[in-house]
Amino acid sequence: MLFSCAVPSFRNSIVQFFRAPLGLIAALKREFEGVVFYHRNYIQNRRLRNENDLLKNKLNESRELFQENKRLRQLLGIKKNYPYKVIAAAVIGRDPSNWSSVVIIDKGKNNGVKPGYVAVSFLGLAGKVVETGNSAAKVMLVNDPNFAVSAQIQRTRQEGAVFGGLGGVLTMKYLTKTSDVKSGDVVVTSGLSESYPKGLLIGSVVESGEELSGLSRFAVIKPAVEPSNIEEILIIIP
Amino acid sequence: MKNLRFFLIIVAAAVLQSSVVDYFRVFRVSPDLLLICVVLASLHAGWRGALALSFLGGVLKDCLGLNPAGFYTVLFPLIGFITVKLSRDLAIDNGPFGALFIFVVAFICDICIMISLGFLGTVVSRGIMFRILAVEPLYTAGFFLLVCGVLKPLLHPFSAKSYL
Repeated sequence: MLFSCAVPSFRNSIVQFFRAPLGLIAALKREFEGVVFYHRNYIQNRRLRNENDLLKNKLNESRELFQENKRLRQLLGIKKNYPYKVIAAAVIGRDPSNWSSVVIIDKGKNNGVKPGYVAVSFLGLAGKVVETGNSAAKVMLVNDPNFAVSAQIQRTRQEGAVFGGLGGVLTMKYLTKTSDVKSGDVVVTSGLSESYPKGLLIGSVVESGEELSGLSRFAVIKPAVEPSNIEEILIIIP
Repeated sequence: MKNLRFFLIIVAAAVLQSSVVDYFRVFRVSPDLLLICVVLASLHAGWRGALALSFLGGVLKDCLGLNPAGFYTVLFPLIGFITVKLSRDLAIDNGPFGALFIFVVAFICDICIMISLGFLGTVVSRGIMFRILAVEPLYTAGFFLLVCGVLKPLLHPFSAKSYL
C-alpha cells in the first residue's frame, strides 16, 4: 500500500494543518470579492430583495398547504417525516487536481460530521462527506466522477441513477426504455440510496436520449447546485 | 537554507493551489502550481533536496485531493528525478525550454492519471478527458513563465537586481 493510502489519519492531519491558512485565504477572498464586485453585489442585492418578497408570499401559501397536508396525514394515519438536522459549513479549499471535484469544509469530527453524511446547499444536493478530520472535512461534489446517487424524475416517478462526470452537467442512467422524460423535468433523490433522504433536488433535465445498447435511456441533468461556485454547504445529520 | 526556502514555497503552493488558483480556471481547468514548484525546486535543490521536496509536493497534493491514494507521492519524486537528470544536459531552467518541459511533464502526468482512473473504474467522458489533457499542460506551461517571474527574486535573492 502506498504511503498516503496506508495512513488515512496522516491525510486528515495534513488537511487539519492546512485548515487555518485555507480558512484565512477563503475569508480574504470573500472580502476581496465584496470590494471588487461592489456594484454587481448592489444590483444583485436589490434583485434578491424583490425575489425575497415574492418568495415570502409563496412561503405563506406553502404553510397553508403544509397545515392541510398535516391534517390529512393525521386523518390517514401516515407517519410524520421529521425535518433534518443540519450543520452549516463554509468551503475553505478545493481539490488541487483537475481530475476530481472535492471541496474542503471548515467543520469536522468535532462538529459531528462523519464520512457518508449528505451535503446540500440551499438549492439542492451538493455531494457527500468522504473524509473527516477533527475540524475539517472533504466533501465529494455531485459532479465528481466517483459520485452516484439513486434518483427519480419528479413528474413521472421513474427511477434511475445519477452520476457525476467532472463537467457542468450530470448524467442520469438506467431509465427504462419506455420512460417519459422531457426537457425541464425536475430530478430528485429517490431515497433508495441509504444515506440520501428522499426528495432532495438534484437538478433539471436538459436533454434525453437512448443508450447505445438500446436497452435503456439516459438524461443529461443540469445540477441545481453549480459545483464550481459553491461557498457554503449544509451537512445533513441523520 | 535554500531547501528550507523551497520547502516553504511548496507548502505555500499547496495552500494557493487549493484556494486562489481556482480563480484562474479556464474551461474548468486550473494550472498545476504544485507541479511547477516541484520542478523549480528540483532544478535548484540538488539530488537529495529534489527528491525530498518533490516527495513533499506529492504527499501534499495527495492529501488535499481525492485522487487515487498515493499517486502523486510516487509520481512527483519521479518527476524530480527526471528533472535533475535532464537539467545536466538541457537548459530547462530558462523560460521557453522550461515551459516546454513543464508542458511535457504535465501531459504525461495527465495520461498517467487517465490510465489509473481507467483501472479504478472511474468513468470520465472522453470530451472532458481530452479537454483536461489539452488545456492543463498548455495552461501550466504558460503559468510556469509567470511563476518563474515571480519566484526569481526569491530563488536568487542576492542577484535580484539583475532581473529588473
